[in-house]
Amino acid sequence: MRVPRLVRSLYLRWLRRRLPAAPRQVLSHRNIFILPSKSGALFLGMTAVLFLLGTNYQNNLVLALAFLLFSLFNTSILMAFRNLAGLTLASGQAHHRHAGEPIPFDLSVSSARPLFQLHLKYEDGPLRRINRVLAQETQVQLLHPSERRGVLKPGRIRIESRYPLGLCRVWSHLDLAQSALVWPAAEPGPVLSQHSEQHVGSEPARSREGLDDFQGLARWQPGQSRARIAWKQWAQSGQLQVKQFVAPQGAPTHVTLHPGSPIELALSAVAAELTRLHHQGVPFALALGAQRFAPEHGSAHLKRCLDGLARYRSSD
Amino acid sequence: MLVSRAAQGCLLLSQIAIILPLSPTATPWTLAILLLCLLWRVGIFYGRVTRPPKLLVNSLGIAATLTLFSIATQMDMMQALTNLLILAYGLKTIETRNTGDLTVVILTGYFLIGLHLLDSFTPLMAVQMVLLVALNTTPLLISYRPEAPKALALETAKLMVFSLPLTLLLFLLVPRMAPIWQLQNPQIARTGLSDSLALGQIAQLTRSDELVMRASFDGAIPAPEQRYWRALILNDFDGQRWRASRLAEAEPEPLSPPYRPYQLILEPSHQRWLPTLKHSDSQDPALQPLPGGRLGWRTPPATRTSVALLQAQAAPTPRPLSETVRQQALQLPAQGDPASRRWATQLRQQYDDPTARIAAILQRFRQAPFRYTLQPPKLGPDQIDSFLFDTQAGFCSHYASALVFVARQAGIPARLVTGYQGGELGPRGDFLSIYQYNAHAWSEVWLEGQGWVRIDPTAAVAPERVEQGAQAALAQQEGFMADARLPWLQFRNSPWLWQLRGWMAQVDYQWSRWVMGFDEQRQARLWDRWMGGFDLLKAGALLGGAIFVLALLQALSSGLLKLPKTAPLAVRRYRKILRKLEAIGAGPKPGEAPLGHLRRLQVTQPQLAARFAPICHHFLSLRYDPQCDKRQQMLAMQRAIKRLRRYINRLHSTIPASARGSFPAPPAP
Repeated sequence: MRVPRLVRSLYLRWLRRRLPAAPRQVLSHRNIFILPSKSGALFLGMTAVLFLLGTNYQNNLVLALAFLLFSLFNTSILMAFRNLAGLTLASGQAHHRHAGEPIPFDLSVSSARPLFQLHLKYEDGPLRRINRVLAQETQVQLLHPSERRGVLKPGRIRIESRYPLGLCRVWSHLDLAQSALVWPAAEPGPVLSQHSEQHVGSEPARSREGLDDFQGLARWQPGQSRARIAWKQWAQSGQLQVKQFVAPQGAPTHVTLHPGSPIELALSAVAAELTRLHHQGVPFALALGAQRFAPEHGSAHLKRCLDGLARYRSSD
Repeated sequence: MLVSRAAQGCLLLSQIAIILPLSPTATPWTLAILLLCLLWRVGIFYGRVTRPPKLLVNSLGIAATLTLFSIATQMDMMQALTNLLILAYGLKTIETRNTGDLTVVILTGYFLIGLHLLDSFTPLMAVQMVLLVALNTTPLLISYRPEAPKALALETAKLMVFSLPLTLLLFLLVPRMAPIWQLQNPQIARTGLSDSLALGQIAQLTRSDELVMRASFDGAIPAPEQRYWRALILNDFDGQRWRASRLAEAEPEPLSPPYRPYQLILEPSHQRWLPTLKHSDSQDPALQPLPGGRLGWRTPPATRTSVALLQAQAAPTPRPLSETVRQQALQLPAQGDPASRRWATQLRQQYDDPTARIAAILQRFRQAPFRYTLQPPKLGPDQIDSFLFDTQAGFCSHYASALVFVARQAGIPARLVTGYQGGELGPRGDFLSIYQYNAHAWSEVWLEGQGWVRIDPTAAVAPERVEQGAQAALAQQEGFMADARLPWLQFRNSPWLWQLRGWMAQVDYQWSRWVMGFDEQRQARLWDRWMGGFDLLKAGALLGGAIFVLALLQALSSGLLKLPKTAPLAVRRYRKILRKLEAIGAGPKPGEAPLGHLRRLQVTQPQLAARFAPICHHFLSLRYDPQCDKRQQMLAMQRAIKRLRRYINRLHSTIPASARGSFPAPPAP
């Protein structure tokens, strides 16, 4: 159903005032909405027809049936409300992903009373069903599509339920003040990268802990593997020492944006290059305008750099 | 959302339970198509078949349409509608995939439950209705809340129990309305009296124990020999059958008080006439007078209906018989039954007085060879002759026809009356139940100066039939109550079960009085008793109020609303004085504890703090020291509050009016 834009924006503004964003929220009568569903409207229509039938035949049992069904509808409204009231939602960790990938947002849901058949969904995201919510906190991941890099605010989560009979739709729109960084999409392209090959001769090669080459001995400390203890040296000196090995490490690569290409394309190319370097195990450094990321390796470093790319000259 | 297996199984159960009671209304073709659909569904349930092929669905649809066409002309609207819905119910079932389809099937189910209620009215039906609604609701519930059967049953029961109070409220308070459009009378074949009578016919009715009506009286219940419920007057005789003809009667004789009020609760007969006592009248707008001193419906009701009637205790003074009526009451077929005619002519010559002639006929019936039986031998072509002079065995309609025939031939205006005689007393003796086996035929003859007088020849032959009722008189006869739904007659020897039947009648009677018969008038009487008269404003207010109270209770139970907890006295007093402090700008900061507040005031406003300190200390010991003397502390706190209040007021009055509301901060030290 298309809602006119004006109505929609008015509704959203009203929602902002009524249900302000907060990382942890409990559903109550303040933030739960109820309307009959299509089935519910059909149900009420049928009850009305039964009422007319009973009136016309002057048959009290048929009237009683109509009243019973109406009361059932009323009860179902109450139970539908109870099925959302008391639901506690707390925002969890946000995961950062490349643009174009769905961004997962963690939430934890819990409720003192068991709740059934909840549907959670961001406006543009896919539906996530939860069959049962219990007192124990449960982690749920909700996806939100990402289009461009930058800070993504997924906006309001729609929490909906049609329990117990599908006759009414109870829902709430909550903003859990979540946000995630969307990294530029990794698309290979022109990058300015500089290998520090010229220093190879003058500077000793960098190395990291590894298994390939023997580097030397160090004092043994409790907790270290006994397989590496240098027994020969112990027999000589009476001191426990461990053998240390290193893996040789390539020289760091310095990566910068390609000034010639459009900024978003250049960022995407850098993201692709950094990911490639990371997979090859080559340490890299990144220069983004005034910001510098010192040469380093590892996932955390890659993440830091990608975060930098995501924030680079981003409007928010 | 797809329909789960549990929901499918539950739906199958509820469908069978809903269709079973409706099966008599459905045509064999309807049932066959439905059965096929349900079988397919069972196949899907057990994983033997998948979705039905298009060909099957289409051919079933075509078959359903043909069935509907073939029955549409033969049935009344309601019956055709029932068949249509049953067909839709079945066809929709085989293609139920998601919750939307399921909801449509279930809504149809609710409607079918309603259709079944249209022609059954017993209290058991109400129980059946609630159970069926619960069963029909379960597939919906289970598709949102998959649970084990026991837990599920509990949840459904909870849903129903929460719904019943509002149902009751609506039942009592929603104003009853008159029918919105006129309904055609469905011509349903039912056992009952008809407007033509062959000699052997009433015996068929004695096979049935179907209820005709229940009667209650203001005052004593009439004696058995007074319980003649007149329904039809049959005037035309063609030698084989008696028929009702248009009675040419002038206006009815006016009835005069005293009256005895009585009430009837009638099962729907779909006929215009209703059985009433003689000399009855009614103020009920649904009734109209019929010729022959009878009452009839303006529109025959389709449901159990109660009416209030009056019976004049004294017979009205008869008017002279008009010539056309006399002709009608003397009419006989041109020929046939020569022996009876001869006997009648003989009687006419023998006795001058019509009363004596009647007495002579009855005297003959009382004599030996005549006997009363529900299984009379077959009669010859001249029926009256054959009965009077040959077989001499029969039941009420034989005797009554013979009497009317002979009386007419003997020159006495006479007519055949059919209706019911007798009735069984309820166990508390407050009402009579009249069943089909109470059907009876008797005669009325016109006697100069007395008007129409009831003559029951059966009473002459088998007085116990009239005095003890059909039960006692006929129970030994073969065929009596043979078509009864329960073999009650076998229970006769067990007084318990017989009593049980009586109590069931009692429950049914109260049910129809208070539930089925809860109509505009009864509702109005309820209003009169409780609210002193009905008006729309009051009704609206009461209904609104009642619903509000119910909603409040429901809101409390669902946690939507919480009753405010009253704080202890000390807290209330403390809060009050804090408000006073706030008014002069010396209130606590958000989240500031009492002692912190006090300490801050001691720095900023030592004068004020000196008076606030005792309040604060008393308050804290009242709240947190379980050993303190509560009473004394409370009194001390109240005294301290008074002092502070006086101090603030004094302070306040010395400040110029313009500065009021904000206490001037003391100069910084």
